[in-house]
Amino acid sequence: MTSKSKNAVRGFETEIDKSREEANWKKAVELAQQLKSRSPQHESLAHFLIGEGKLEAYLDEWPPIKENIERAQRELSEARGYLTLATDEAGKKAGVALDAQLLLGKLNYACGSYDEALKHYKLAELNTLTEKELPVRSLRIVAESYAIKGFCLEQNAVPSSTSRYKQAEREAEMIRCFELASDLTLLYLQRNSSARAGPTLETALQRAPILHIRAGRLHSAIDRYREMLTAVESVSTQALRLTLTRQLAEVLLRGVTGQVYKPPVAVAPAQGTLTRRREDHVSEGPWKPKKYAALNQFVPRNEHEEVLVLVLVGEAMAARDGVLSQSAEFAAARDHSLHTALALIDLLALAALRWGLRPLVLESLERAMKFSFGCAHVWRQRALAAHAHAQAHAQTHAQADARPGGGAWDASVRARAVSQRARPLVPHDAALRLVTASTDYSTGWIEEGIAMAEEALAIEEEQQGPLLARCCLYAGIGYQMKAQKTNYRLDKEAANETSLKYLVRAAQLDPNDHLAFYHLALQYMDMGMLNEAMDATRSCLEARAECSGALIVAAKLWSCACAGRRQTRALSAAALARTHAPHSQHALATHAALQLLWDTPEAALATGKELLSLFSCDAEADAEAGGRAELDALSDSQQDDAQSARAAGHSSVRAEMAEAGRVERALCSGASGASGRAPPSARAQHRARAWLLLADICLRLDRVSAAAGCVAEAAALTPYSHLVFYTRGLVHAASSEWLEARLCFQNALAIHPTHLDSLLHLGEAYYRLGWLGLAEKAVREGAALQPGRADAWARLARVLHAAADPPAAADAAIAALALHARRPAHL
Amino acid sequence: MSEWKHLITEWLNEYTSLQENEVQSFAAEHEHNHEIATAIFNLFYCEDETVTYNCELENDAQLVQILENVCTQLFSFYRSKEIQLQRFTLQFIPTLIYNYLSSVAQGKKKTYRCIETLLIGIYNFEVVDENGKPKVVSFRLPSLAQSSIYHEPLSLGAQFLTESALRRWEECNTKLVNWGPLPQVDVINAQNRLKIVSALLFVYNRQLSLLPKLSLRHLCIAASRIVTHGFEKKQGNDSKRVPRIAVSPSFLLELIAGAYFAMFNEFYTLALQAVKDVDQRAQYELFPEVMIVTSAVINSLKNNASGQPFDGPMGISVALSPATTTVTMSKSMITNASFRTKKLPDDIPIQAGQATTAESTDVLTSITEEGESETAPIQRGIIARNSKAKLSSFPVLGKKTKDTKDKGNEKKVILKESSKGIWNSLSGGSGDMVDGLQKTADSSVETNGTSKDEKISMTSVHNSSENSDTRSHITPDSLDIDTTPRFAAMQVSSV
Repeated sequence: MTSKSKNAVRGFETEIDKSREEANWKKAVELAQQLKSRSPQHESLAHFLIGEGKLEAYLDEWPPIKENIERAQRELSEARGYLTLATDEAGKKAGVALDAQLLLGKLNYACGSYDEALKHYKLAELNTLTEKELPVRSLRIVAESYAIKGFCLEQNAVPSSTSRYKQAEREAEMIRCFELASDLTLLYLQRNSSARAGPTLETALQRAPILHIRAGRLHSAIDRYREMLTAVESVSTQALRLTLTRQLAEVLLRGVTGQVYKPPVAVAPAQGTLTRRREDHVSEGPWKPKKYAALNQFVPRNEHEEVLVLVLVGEAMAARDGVLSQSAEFAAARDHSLHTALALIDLLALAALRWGLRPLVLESLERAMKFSFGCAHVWRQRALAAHAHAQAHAQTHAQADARPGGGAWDASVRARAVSQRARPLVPHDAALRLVTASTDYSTGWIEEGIAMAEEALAIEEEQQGPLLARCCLYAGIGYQMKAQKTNYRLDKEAANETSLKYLVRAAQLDPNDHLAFYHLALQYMDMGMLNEAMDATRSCLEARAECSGALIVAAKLWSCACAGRRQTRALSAAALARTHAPHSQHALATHAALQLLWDTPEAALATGKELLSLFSCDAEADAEAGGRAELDALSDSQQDDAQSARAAGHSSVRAEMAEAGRVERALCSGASGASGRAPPSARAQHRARAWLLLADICLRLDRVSAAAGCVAEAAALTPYSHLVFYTRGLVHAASSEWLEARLCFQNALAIHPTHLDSLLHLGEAYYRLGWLGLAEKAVREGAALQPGRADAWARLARVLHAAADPPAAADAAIAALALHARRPAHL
Repeated sequence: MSEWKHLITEWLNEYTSLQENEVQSFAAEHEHNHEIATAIFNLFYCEDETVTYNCELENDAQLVQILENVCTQLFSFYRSKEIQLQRFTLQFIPTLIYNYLSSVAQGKKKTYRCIETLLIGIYNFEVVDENGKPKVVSFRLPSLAQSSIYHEPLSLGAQFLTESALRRWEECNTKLVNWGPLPQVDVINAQNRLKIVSALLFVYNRQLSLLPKLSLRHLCIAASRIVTHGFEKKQGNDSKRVPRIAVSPSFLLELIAGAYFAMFNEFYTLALQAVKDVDQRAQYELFPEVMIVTSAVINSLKNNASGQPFDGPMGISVALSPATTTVTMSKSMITNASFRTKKLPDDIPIQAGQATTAESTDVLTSITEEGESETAPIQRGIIARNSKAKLSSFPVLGKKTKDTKDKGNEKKVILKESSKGIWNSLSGGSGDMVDGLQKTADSSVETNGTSKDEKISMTSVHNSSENSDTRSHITPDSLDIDTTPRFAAMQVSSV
């Protein structure tokens, strides 16, 4: 295009070329003026260069937008003069006329005269330019010309009389212009890595797919985006690619599902070595940008894959550009980069969490930490993700991991630490605090959890938020757990009191919340207020008829002595709970226990077997689920189990057992140190518990040897569980082997020092052995531990009687009688 | 009320009287038959309203009868081989689910039996493929470590080549992300109910872009109602409490996915309301994952530069990057990209003498290389010469640091990017020695913040040895540049 004369000004020309390529227009104009004065034979060239320089220098400062039109008309007359001079005959001869025409088009566009601009492009025969290799500067001129032609066509009002066909043709032309412009722009930016696209070219790039979408051609739009995104990145396209990546992901998420999707086709790697620079990149033509074509590429096959790869790439690019400088001068840049990154992180959350890809989201949020100092949204999201992770961990591994060093423990610690930081950023967010509280509870940090719940309560009280009732509920649950955990009577009573207060308030605030009533019922039952407990249970069932936890509580209440033992009701409540939740361990166990009492033993045995089969049939799935749990999409079975476990009152049991679990774990790792056996999984624990329940049933049926077998099975699964020792003790006791039984109970207590049943049975064993002093001590300990247990007092009475202390024995017996009515039959 | 009843009755009769060969044309015209669809939607909602207003018993029984017939017909549509008819049934799924769940919550067995049967039928139909094998929807989880048609791992920087990314690459083709396989069910109980409805909603969501727009509208309405059912502020104590509908995280996530789609397909207001309602419910239930997604959606609407639903078709609009709109960008800005992990040269040309220099970098305070022009003294090692004692204790970020200084003015640092010529002259042929260039952070900024002219940047430039790949020279910033015009022309400001 710009002809290279073989003249003495050659050196000059390279200088000029260089300044043009680098868009150093001031220098280019200077050099051109020197050229003009030195060699008049290059006048046309010089005119062109001066005109070009002036035009570009002006446009650098005032981009061609509507607001600047007037200014452009004022200030561009000089450039216009020079460029028009360059289009004369001499210019044509010098080979600058074409470029000058193109630039004149641009100039007219800046001045707002779109028809004029189109005329110049027509003169330059823009649409018939052959696709051939162009010098860098020309690439830009041609790209801009196409872009501007597109804009002009778009801007120019179409007379309404134009036929439909004409309009379609016009639109097709417009889109072709934009597409060519975008290809050329990308090529230009690849060739000249230091250049910037500028608003004109960048708008043209983004315009083409939008026009497609507007016209309802979603696939063309997607193809257009793919065209642009498969082009190899260069320094100056980074920001642009980021935007395009996000847009394509958005289009896919918002417009394409299932059958509509058409996967992209990978560019075949170049055969031979035609491309010199890198074989990884191929180009389809002289006007096409180079594309990624590495071997073994990831080519998306469905919309999920494409969305994820786009969002991941985009998120990585956004994170790379994240501004770390905190000083005020970069605030705007920092905000912008943060917002772009956030947009992608949000998209990732939307696309990935539905498939259970939590680790992906967690990772991206962790990366975002680096550049999102003080950004409440990111911190909150990260805290939530950490909690979700911790809670999922806690569910898959039960309490197995809930100890220092375990996976769930780590996750909980991290979640806690993150929310510690996030909380000050969201001072009015009660939900985050409640989530923190619930993670704390499930990890066994009850005090911390209560603090969180109370903080949330304070917030909601202040703003009368919708979560007020829930805050009370969680505070109540916390105190309930605390009461169960602590063994110091005053603390216990105080905690019970506070818990009741909170729970009552929760139920009053939200009479439609079944969970509040459920916990209230539990609390009443713990405190021996059975009528109130029944009322609460009824309210709970009214709010949610299928709450199996409440049904179980109802069954327990009906089985209490003071209810007159409504056997049928209790049984049917348990049976109903079982129909609603046929895979819930708790429901089955309760039903079995009640059946044992009032139904045939065979029925109980059958239920027990069903419970066992529930866990053994999944034994194969277990191994698979272990590693894959994190990625397993839509697997909310664990979620459900945990829900029902919580609803079934397991949370309270857990608080107390956590300590025991820890000892068990320690023993396990000590024993397995040499053999390298892993601690039992959650499922193994469930199975062991099912075996123990069966053992219990067998014992009550007087099938001692069968019970021993069941205990052996359980011991194989969880050898160091206090429950195993306890049940084994029961087996020995059933066959009157008191010495062995004593040993077993002592072992159980060594693991779980406050296991009341073991303690009481230990007392029984001592009593049978005739060691009355020890027996009294053990039973008294038990009674002190839980003064509400009737059987503790009954045993004490017996021991005292044997120890020839009738008054004390009578007192104990009175206590036992008073308490007897409050005890559910099967416990 | 009566007109749609009439319509439905006609519709029922029409289908029953169809001949085998007419089904196809019936199906073709049916898919976008809005009138009948509207009538059926009305039926479901009227059904809902009878709860609150307690229609007379007779009317109720009649309704149940119609409902039963409609469900039967919808299911026979679904079982027919006509895709259009299946889709016709599919569009009612969210409304059916809402209707079903609310009936269950209220314990109205009579009305929900037929819907339950329909839902079980569709579910069992969907969890197996044509051959009766359990259906699995799966895809590969892409990893940034593997190059894709959209990127090359190295151009993103090594920080993204994390262990998990590499592991994901390894597992990409073997460990798929799955939906399913799900078991067939005979009966719905409290434990599997939400799994079944989430699965149904998943099936529905996969067809979103083919379904009539009307269905999207009802999806949003159903979503809002499901999550707010029983949460309305009580107007008076006389009204009976409405039980809430139980939800699960995955069910809510499916609802959000659908609502997000609807948001950008004409139903912005309704869909946004649905997402907000779901958010409220997720907070109430303490589902952290759902909270993440809802706040992501809400935040993206609030915060985004572009991509708003009203920004253009599908919320896509032209978003110019700021680098092109603001011409000048300060040079000393630090971005994540400013940190580069040290990359070993692809090929290690061990030359005699160089090994010793490499070793001695920690010992020697400076090594002078044969430099040219203004960049003669080159200092290596951790201690930067000009920063006096303060800087010596300053933690540096890379393994090796190297300060290039102007001879005349030691406090100025010149850093060029993509200036191969200068680089070559700097490295003096021993390119691999200059593998990490890092300018230590300005001690004045960090420690006392006074002397502004002592500006040294904290950028480490990656220079990948002799094969002068310009792409790896990218430094997003060069600071405090005080150069001759000739070099100024070569600078590229940070992008």
